[in-house]
Amino acid sequence: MTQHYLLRNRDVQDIDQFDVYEANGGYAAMKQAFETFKPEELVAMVKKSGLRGRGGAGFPTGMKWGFLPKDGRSRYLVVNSDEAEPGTFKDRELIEENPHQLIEGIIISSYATEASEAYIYCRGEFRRGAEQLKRAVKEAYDHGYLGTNILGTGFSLELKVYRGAGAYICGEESALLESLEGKRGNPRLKPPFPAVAGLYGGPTVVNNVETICNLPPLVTYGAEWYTSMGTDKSPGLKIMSVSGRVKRPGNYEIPLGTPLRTLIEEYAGGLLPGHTVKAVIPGGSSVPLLMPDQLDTPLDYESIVKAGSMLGSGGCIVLDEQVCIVGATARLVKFYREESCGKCTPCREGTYWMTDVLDRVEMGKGEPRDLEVLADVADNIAGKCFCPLGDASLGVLVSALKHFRHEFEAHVAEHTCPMGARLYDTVNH
Amino acid sequence: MIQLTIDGQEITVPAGTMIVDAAAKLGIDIPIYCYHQALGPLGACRMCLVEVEKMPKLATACTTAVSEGMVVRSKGPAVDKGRRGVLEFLLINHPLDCPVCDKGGECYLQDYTFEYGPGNGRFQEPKIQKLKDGPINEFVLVDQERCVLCQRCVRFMGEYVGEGQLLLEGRGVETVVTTVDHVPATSQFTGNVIDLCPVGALLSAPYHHKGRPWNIEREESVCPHCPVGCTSKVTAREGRVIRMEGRPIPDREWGWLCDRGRFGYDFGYHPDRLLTSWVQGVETSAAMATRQVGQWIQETINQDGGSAVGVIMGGTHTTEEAYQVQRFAREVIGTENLAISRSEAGYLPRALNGTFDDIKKADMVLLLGSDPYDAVPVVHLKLRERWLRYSALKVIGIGPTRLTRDTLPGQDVITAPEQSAAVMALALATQRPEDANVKTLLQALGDFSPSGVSPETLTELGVQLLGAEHLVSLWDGMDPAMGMVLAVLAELREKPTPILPTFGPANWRGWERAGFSAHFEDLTRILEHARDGIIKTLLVFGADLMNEYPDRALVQAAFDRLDHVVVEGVQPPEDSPQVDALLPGATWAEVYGTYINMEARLQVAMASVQPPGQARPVKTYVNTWAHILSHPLAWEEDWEPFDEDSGELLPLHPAPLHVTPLKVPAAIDGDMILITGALIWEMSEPSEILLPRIPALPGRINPEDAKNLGLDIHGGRMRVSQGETSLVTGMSLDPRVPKGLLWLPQRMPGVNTLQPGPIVLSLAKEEVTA
Amino acid sequence: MLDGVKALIKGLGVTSKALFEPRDTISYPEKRREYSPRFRGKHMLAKDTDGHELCVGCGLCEAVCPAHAIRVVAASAPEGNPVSWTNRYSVDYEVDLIRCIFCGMCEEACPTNAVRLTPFNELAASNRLDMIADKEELLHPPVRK
Repeated sequence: MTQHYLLRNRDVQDIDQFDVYEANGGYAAMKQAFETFKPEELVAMVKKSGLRGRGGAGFPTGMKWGFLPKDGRSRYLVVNSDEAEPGTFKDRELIEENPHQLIEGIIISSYATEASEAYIYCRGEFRRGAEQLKRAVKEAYDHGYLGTNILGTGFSLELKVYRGAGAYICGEESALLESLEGKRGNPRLKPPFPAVAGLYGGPTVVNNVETICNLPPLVTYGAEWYTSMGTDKSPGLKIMSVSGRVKRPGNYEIPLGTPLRTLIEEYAGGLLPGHTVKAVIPGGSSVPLLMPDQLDTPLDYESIVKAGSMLGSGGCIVLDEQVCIVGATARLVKFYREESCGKCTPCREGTYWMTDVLDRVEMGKGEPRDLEVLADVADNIAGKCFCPLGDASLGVLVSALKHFRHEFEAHVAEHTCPMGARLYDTVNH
Repeated sequence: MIQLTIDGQEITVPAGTMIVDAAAKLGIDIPIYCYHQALGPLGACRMCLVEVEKMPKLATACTTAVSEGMVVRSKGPAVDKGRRGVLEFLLINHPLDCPVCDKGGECYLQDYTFEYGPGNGRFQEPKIQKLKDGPINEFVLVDQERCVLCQRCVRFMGEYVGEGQLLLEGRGVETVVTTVDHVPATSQFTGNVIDLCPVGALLSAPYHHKGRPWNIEREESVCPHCPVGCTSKVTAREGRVIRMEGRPIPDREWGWLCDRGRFGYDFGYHPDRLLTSWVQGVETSAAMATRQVGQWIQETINQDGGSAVGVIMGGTHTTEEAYQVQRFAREVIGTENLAISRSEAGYLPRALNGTFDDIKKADMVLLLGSDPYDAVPVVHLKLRERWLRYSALKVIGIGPTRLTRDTLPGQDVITAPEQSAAVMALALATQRPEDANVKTLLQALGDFSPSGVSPETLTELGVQLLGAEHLVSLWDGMDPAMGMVLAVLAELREKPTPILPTFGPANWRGWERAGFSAHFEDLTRILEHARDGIIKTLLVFGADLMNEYPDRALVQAAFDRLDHVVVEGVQPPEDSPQVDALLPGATWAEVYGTYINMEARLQVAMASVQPPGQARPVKTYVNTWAHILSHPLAWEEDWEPFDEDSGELLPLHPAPLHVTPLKVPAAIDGDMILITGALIWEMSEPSEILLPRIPALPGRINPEDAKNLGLDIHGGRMRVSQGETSLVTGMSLDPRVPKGLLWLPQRMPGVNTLQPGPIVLSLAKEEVTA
Repeated sequence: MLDGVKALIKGLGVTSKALFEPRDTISYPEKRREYSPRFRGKHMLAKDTDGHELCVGCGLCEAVCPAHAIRVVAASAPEGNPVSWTNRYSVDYEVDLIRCIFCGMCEEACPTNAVRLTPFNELAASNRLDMIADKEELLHPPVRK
């Protein structure tokens, strides 16, 4: 096992307290950044490090920062902490257990992007996380790390914590900005991208919590340290959330490129005795399944795409042989049905339709033509939605239909769930 | 300019154009629901999928801007499958309501399903159930099940009108369109969402279940209620008008109507409508009445000559009707006593008249006297659209109340009543004191200094008035002296200074073209001559002088003295006992003719229905009278209301400087001063459909005054007294009205028994006892 | 002469032959023919089992009628008193039986299966107005006048 950086303090008692955090080397990177770097040097360093957005899309962070127009308008930094992807729980740990690390990252990022206002958009359900953040922000203000003229550098930053209202779509950056502005959380038309016209029309950087948390170690150890880990195109570390019937489910920080098998068997301790891997959802509920014969796929953005899936937000869900794939798919598609914002037609109606059909199949009331309908409905959604949510709802379904078609057919032929409908309780539909 | 290829045809369009608009120019129809040119792209419905070369996925034509060398295919297997898929999605939760849906037959969901949709459905699951026939307000119904969530209505009300009273509620497939807090929408533009709705989700309540596209007739028409002259379509079934719709005209009009115009079409079916003729209080046949009136005219001419007859034009008469009446008056009777019935004293020479195109170019807008939102609502929308597109637009309101509003922000110069013209003149004097015209103005003012307006404000106003590149003024005509100041302003500025007159009846420019005097002085002169016994017989066409003329006492005196008062109209005027003959007239939907609106644009209104009962067009009366007077008058079918050589509506005279001379405003003393203004809801043509929306509390009073007078925050009824006369009316609290002022709609019945000026306000009796 | 007699005998032969053949005519109106149930005669408006009218006044019959023989006026159902099975019903429904060509397209177009052409064909009347069947008349199965 490699060393943890973002999670290095997870075993330190009371690391969420300001004093403890500072005593453990906290806010040193911030001071270092102020002293030794100019903002543009920081941006150059982030570009050089190859750090990619950890929210799911994997867009290079340095490049994103570089898109900000230099027109003198005041800039915003928005931290996307609306982590609602089923199977992903890395940001939750980062904000609940070690909020000061995020705040330090925010100060460094704001300094780099010359943002004078920053917002943390915290998922509505993260009550403890939001409380931790609010307390930590207050502590940072009290110690003069936030506010006007931080540590006499002339750099000022206002940081506010905003709690969402519990919509998954607000993890999409433009919907997040709408929600932050107090409007209905629906995604915006792009272009213009947030870097040009974001929050209140101003230039805005939206970054994931984990991305921002990478900044303090990056400042401390430098870009070369970062590129020394991971692969050429996917350098650095990534926190993977492992769930399912494994011995040690949880968050693990791995260098990118680590094989999936290593993550499941070494980090998470393998499956519980007597269980075998049936399939793995490697990057949160939105990505296609990987089959057991693909377990040696290295976990980096490129290899995993080659294997037919995506790294996504790093929520690795291990499905064992007791899982009914139809039930699991139905449950996941239902999640997207509930979370569709309702703006565009294919996502709004398609997820509703697919949920109903999958429910019926799972309950043993399917017909042979349902599978064709499902495949065609999925095809009618794919690539035709306004935002990625519609496509995200298809990841598991399409790959399940491809790899586990026999299970679907068995549901239809036997008029019941051969697995006994264990995972997905259809009664409470 | 950008060149691109759509379906093999090349086209060059300005940068920033969306593919769907470029395709429309080529005549290629791309199906759309959510996109509307006035509202901009949204990308919600996904109906407009097209194939763009070098793009990995299908693109939405309404959100994709054109780029150089782009190759677009709007047809093909991939596009067809995409559109078929989207339509199938739209239909899975759409109820099979077509047989009972008012939109059936004119519905984009039907049309596109027929053209692009799947032949049959594969959806077997239960459909989502939502609210059906719920109210948005008195005029608009919402059927949430039929909604395709294109958001046109929500965006129109929220972004375009700026009165966000509609919203999306719920998430995902449970999303519905509803009103904020589920209370009825109060905006005066709600009816437009019916036209905007591509499906049968938003329906007109008065038209509900009344017609189908194949059993109605639609004629192009013009809204006859205010001088904006909005383009509309009249729907008639079996000889009855049952609906008004907006009529968009490419590159000119979006087809917006205000609710007053859209739902006020039923004035021709009001229970009070005049359907028979009355002579001296006795119901009689049309022939008898017409002949009797002819004899009266004959008698008057024989005894006192033609000049003892006065003719007043009003109502919703067309230009052609006015022309015929004018010919009858001049050629047959031989009188020059021709005037237009009007409420405001202002007059604007044609040469200064601006157009709505000027609003699209304006960088500064001057609101003079009345709020366009109250007086000419659709012009308010035009102004707001300009403000949305050009955020640097300066809006300045000059008048006794605040004239800018949240939906059209700007700055206000609040003057004392009747001092606006003087303030404008003084503002000009700060910049060009040496100009000869300005000097004339200053001479007229003497050493007058306005109350409540600081010299700095005057200077700032002067700088802005002269500095603006394209200054559009909207003038309500209440203060006639403003006309002269505006004429000076137009001459001082070497840049465009168009003025839009918001006053007058809908077709006053048309009647003026037809030969009637639009000057208020001429109307007053006729009434005074009638009072003094010089004019013996008065022919009134369509006008309700008792309510329209600002001084009821004069009309009363004139009517008392006149030998014969003949009124032709759709409604019997108030106090008809004094009227000797009542002749039923035709509404605007019952005659073909032209209207000339406030921008002096000629527009045609087709006849949709036949006049009911004994009602008949003006020409019938006029021709009969001409016959009785042994001077047959042929109806000139080929008369056109514009100059045949130049095509100009009216000959352009150089702007006369002396319209109504500026004079020192009289000082008005009093704790409470009455001012009046235009309110579209209080115009003539009573409608039963509109009844629930006619303001119950039309008066407006400052909240502080209201508090001092003992009125609670919800407003209430108060007695307005002036000398001997008094009037009880509802008052609402409006912080836009300064302290010490009471604002009343000028055309509200009874308001013209009072004169603007000092009044005494007290709680009405029932309020006191309560 | 002989030719004349021949023709006479031939003619009488035809007559006497026809005299003993079965007759094609019946003595209407004492006797009536049986019509095919698919015969398209006078219209009627059907009701559902609850007694609600099936007609919702959609006017599709009116639209499709090639002879313009149908007039439909619809209205919203009075509150609490549904006339039809939904909130819209036909206030007026008139078929001009003089104009009608009994093509049956109204029946085909009807989305609620309300308009039905019965085999009833005894439509004669002594007055044009009587030939316009109003809604009251159409709601009941046709009977001889």
